Amino acid sequence: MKHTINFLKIKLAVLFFAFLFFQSCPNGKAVKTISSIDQKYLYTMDGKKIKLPAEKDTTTTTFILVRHAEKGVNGKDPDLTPDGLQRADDLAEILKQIEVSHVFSTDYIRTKDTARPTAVDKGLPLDIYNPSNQNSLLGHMVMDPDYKNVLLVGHSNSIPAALNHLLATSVYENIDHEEYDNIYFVRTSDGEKTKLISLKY
Amino acid sequence: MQIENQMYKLTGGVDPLALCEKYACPLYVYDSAIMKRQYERMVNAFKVKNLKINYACKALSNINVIQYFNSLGAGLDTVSIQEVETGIKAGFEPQEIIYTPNCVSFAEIAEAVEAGVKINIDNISILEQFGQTYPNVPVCVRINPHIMAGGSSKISVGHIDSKFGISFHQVPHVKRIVEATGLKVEGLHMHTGSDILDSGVFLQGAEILFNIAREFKDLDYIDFGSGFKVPYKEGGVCTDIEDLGEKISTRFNNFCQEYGKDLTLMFEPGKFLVSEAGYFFVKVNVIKQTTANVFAGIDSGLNHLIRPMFYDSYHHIVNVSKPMGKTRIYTVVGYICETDTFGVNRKIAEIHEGDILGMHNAGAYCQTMSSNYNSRYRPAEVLVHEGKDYLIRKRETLNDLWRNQVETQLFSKVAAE
Ligand SMILES: Cc1ncc(COP(=O)(O)O)c(C=O)c1O
Repeated sequence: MKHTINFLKIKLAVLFFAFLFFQSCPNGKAVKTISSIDQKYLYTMDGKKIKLPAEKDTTTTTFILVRHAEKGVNGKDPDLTPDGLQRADDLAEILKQIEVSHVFSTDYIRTKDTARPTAVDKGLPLDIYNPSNQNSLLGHMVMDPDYKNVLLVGHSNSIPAALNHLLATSVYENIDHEEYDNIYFVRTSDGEKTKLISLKY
Repeated sequence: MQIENQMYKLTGGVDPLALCEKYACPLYVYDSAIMKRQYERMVNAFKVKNLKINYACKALSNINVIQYFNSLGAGLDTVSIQEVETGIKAGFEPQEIIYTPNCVSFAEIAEAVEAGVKINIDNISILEQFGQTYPNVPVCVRINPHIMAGGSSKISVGHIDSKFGISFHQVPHVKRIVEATGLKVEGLHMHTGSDILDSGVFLQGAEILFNIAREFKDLDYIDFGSGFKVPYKEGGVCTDIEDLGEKISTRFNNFCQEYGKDLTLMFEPGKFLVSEAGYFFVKVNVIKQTTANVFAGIDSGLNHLIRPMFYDSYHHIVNVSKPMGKTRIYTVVGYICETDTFGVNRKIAEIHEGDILGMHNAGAYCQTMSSNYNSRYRPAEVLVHEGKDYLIRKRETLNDLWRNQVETQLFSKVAAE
């Protein structure tokens, strides 16, 4: 097993705060430290109150993009290794405090198994998407207010392609074959610059 | 093709003259980067949860091109059992292929069912037979929305007098058949024509299909066909796919909410995906000056590219050998025994005998409509992919012309005794 529970908890907290931080600074102003949060606001140590995207905020979508976890070597549609299964559980754990509205996976065992623990945990269906046509889906989710925080599990080539599309760039290259620990938060909001934080989990 | 250092270049810096040298003229060349660009434009334009772009392989049916679209994630639109077989051979899953024939025999439709592809039915009589024979095989129904649209009467196929589709006035009849046989209607389809510029046509058609869709509860997809226009002339207009995408997507997404299901939005473009990717390179055999015209006579004709004669299509023509020469006026004609004019009074950089001319927009409905008229060989086809060239069809030989002819030996010239 790769992660101890404590280590995971620390990571989890870091990620969650990173996520909130990211959600809460639409103008890109740096928020130093978070003192507390409630449903609507995030309070900083220096006494500032920052509005979190409201329930009915119709224009903001946050994409949580990950490549599938460690895969085996069996055939064309391999499943996850024990490390991979653990990472899939870790992902669900990390996303525990984030309200995920949709979970999307490509139609492969390794991606579905990566997404499943989160979907189960959130009580959401596992939505299948076609990575070749993902720009159409991404465009739809950016426009449709129902999509708030979307987990999208894809592949070493399709995840960078999604980043390039959402951020209107071409700088993201295929993820290294041995790299499974990247997690990208991309926040799109009408009339604002799309933001990215990339972290490891 | 772009001009770089005073010479035409294909994507990746590939030199078309070198290809003509290597494979000889006349030659079809397809640039995969342009097919990809067009495919991605469509995917980016339509913002829906489930999108399927089915490549209409009638436009260009070389198996490598079909495989390329498969690799990009497209589905396949087919019109004949042979196209179905080619799609399967190319590696498509049968359910990624939609078969939209018209006026074919029921036996051919049965073959397509056997192959496991999606079936699109375009008349009541076949629908009835289908329902009786295959009550458990879901079908798509091709609706004629009675919209007059398209670049010319030959390619306008959705109007009231057209042979295509089931009139939307006959939907009650369709419903009776569905109820009587237990058929599942999984899709609705329309295709109003080719070379449609006006997004209003699609939107109008969409409303008609949505109205009908409300009557069928088991739909999985709605297919708006094709007809997107691409530029043929330099600076020519094309369907504003991005604008159309916004409008259709919004309307489609709203309809899905109303319908209570995320339907798949389908299109089946041919021309939009491949027209601009293709070039036809020919050699000038003769320059012929008459009192009225200067003709450039080329080593090809309506046997290889019939669109200018058949549809009055405009194909832009350039002098690939000497692009920077002083422009003069030419009428470019073929070698066939009837009038086969590729372009009248075109401004082209001065042409000398032996020069190579390049015709643009030769990807769609060019090679696939070619023939052996005048017992000429059909040209070779080359795919340019990531800076390299690949022969994807050999030039024909005399044996190809003779291959299926059966010599009966009935007639021989016997010398008189
Ligand atoms: C039913 C159908 N779908 C699609 C197409 C492709 O049209 P286009 O090449 O204009 O995209 C055609 C063209 O004839 C057609 O008849």
